[in-house]
Amino acid sequence: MNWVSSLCALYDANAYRAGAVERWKGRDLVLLPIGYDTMEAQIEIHIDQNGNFIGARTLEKDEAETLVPYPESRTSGIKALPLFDCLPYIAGDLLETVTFYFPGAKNEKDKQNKRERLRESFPLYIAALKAWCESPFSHPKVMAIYHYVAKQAVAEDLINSQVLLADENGIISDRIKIQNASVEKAFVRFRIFMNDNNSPDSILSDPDNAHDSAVWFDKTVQHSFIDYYSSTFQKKDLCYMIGEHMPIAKTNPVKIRGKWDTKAKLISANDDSNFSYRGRFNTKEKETGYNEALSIGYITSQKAHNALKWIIRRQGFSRDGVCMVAWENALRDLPNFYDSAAGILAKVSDEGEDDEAEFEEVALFEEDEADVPVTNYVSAAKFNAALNGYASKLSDISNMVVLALDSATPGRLAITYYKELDSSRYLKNLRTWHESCCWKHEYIQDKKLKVYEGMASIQEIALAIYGTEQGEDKSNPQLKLSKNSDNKSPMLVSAFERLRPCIIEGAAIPRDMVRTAVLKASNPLAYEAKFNYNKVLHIACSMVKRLYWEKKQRNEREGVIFKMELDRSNRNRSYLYGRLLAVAERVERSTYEKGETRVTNAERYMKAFSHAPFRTWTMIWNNLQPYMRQLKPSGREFYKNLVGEITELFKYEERISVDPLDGKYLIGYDCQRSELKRKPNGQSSSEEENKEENNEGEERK
Amino acid sequence: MEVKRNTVEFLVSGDRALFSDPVTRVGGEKTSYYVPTYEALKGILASVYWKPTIIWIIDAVRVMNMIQTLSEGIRTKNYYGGNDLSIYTYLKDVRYQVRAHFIWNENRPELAADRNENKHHNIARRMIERGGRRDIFLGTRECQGTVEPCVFGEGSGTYDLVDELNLGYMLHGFTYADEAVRDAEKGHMSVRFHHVVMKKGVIEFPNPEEIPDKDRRILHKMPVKPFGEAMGNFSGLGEFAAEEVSQ
Repeated sequence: MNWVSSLCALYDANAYRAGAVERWKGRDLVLLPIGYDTMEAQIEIHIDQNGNFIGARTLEKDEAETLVPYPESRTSGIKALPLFDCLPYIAGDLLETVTFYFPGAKNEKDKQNKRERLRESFPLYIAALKAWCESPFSHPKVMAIYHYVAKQAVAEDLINSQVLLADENGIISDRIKIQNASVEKAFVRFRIFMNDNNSPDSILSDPDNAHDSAVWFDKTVQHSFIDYYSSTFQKKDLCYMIGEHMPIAKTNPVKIRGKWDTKAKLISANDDSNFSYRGRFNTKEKETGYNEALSIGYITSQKAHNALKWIIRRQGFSRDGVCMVAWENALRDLPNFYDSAAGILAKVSDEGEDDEAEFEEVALFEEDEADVPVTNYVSAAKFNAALNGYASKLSDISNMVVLALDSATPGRLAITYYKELDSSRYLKNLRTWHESCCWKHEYIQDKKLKVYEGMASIQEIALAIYGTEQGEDKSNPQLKLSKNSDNKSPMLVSAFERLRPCIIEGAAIPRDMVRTAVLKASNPLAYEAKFNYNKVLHIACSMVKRLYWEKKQRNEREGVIFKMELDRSNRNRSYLYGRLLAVAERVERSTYEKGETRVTNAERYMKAFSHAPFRTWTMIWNNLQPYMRQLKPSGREFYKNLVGEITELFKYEERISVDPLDGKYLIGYDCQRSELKRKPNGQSSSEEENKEENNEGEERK
Repeated sequence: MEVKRNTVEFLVSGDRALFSDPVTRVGGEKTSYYVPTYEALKGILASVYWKPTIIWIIDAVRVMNMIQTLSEGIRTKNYYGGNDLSIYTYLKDVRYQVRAHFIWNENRPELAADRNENKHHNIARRMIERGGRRDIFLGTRECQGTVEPCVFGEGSGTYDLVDELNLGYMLHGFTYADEAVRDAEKGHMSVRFHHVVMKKGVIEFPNPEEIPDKDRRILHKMPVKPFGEAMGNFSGLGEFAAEEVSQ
């Protein structure tokens, strides 16, 4: 299936929702009926079923949103909407009753043009409304509006009911705004009070009949419009998306990613100005919408766009213009691929909460190296259980669609990713991703340090790989990504783009990202906050782990699955050098006074060490001696033994080699570091651990 | 699948491909279909070898690699100068086995003397071995590809075990005036569509004339391009005679 067909299928499956307002996670959500869109109305006019004026009022911002028939997108020129529209279209007496100064006009000619536009608006509107009322699909409420508007007394009525107000000179003019909208732009909607009661079923989301009078919620009016509008099409053509002959869409809906997304279109054609496709095709005819290069059915277009808008507002994720949405065919909940393991778990535990609950990414406390966070430790087992929970709710034929949108220019929207897959396969791939990258990651929630096993979110990965510490607050620097002139982070967009296939399809992790992560993690001096550095280090470890895991899957010689615990039998050169570095760091730091945050020699030389470990180690070791002397004899003995033990594991020629270290050294470094941290005095019996560690056979080579 | 006497088989591969979906193409944000269209494969084969005497018919394509996409920001040129920005979505790392054969173009009676099946078949096979006469590109000009001979169905493909994959309604190709068979389409350019189903990695294409009228759309009038020595765009053996003598 292509994206349009699956969106149409989504629309059809949820067609019963169309036109009704649902509360969804604290927001109003509407699946637009065919030919409908939403507009912000400023004025509401009340009339009775015979078209007699009852009253009018201005609308507050929070009640302004109105479902309106909006069959084709309206750009420039005079074009009336079928039912509700702006004041110049609705009010036939506007020019007579309101004084127009046209404050924005440049010259007299411009004023004349604007006046001409206002004059031409009403006849268009009333003619279209008349056609609807005279068609077999007319509706009593539409008739009522027609009767009322035809009296051409709308502006007068609005003045009488204090909606159109006079200024201090007593003149009613276009200088006065209605709810921040100019008189020409003020949008009008109608409420009609019928004497006979409609059957309750026909009115939507209306337990107390409060909406009875609201024409925009009335499903019978919606159906009446769709039937009428479909009957106005004369020509049919082939729909390129589904292969049926049907009336053709002249334009396609806009505002796809959200209300803010004004003009960007998914399907567009700018052949008149820039000839983006002319080539072998002739031009498009503006009047009929006939286009040689493309033909899309009106119903197909409306269904696909409305379904897309709805699902994005329901469960989409937008950041920096990149919009992503994934849905299951029965709209069951599925974990998001871009979340961290902890984020996925958090959603299981507090369902119904706002799904954008992000962790506070702030280090608020004094760093104490010996502090091992234990609160709310989220293990890989818990994470797996959560995924199993999702899986158990799925049916055998459960499918899902992942779709991503992005725009390079404000006018057009591109589908940058579209994928259909079995939900169970998605869950399997998601689990594999978190398992193959599994490392211990720290985060801060409610000012507490928490730990989870799994992989961080894509956003965190992007921050770790491409971010730098920024921010005015020197005591609490944060990792941030650089932004371009559009205030977007291209690196974040690219991280999503490149990691998405790794997670969803199990593709290979980009090597350059792993390399960058290792480089970043080799430079602890670049980070003021220890928390930030640890994050970078752990994400680098995750990515290195994944890289070697992939090699193992491909049966390459280098492939290895790293354990999160220290592997004392690993004789890999990089791993061992990483361990040595961690010991050196530990020795120096254990001599520090409380509160001392000086950078250790090990950290200072880390970058050089990763390039030339043998030479740099001599330097680090020499610099370490004064600190060694400060230790208690037992501690000194312990560390000396440990260094000796590690050194013995080296193959001599590998130890003295001038080759730089690879990413595995970070794994050795981090494992040894947490091992030493756990036993800060270094007094434990190392034999005991040896037994523990050596019972699994999945080590190197 | 019936194998014709004049069948050719080849493997076409490239780092990326863009068989653009017409729906996204007109706006300038091209997105690729997941599999090559009939027309794209026909174009590839026509780059390898073609004469107005023959019409290439693509029988089937076998998708060897996993279908993967990648999207890229592209700075395109405007018709009236200046730049524009677009996002193109390409296919990544593609390999296809293609089986095709040719038929005579009955709209060119003047070339009836050139209808020597063995000659055209042998040239086509030689050209495949040499990688084609002109540049091979996969859908769009910036996606270069290579052609080499292969045995259709040999080797393992990613989708060998996938029984059926429905890829939806897709462009089949264009019917240009010189290949039009139906009366309504003669002297016109038209487009054809079909529903694509991939079975165990293989898509069998319907012959252009098997596609019913409801899946065709006739566009504008288009004359048949004339070929011939008089036009100066057709050469036979004659002009090489001098070279042969001089050697």
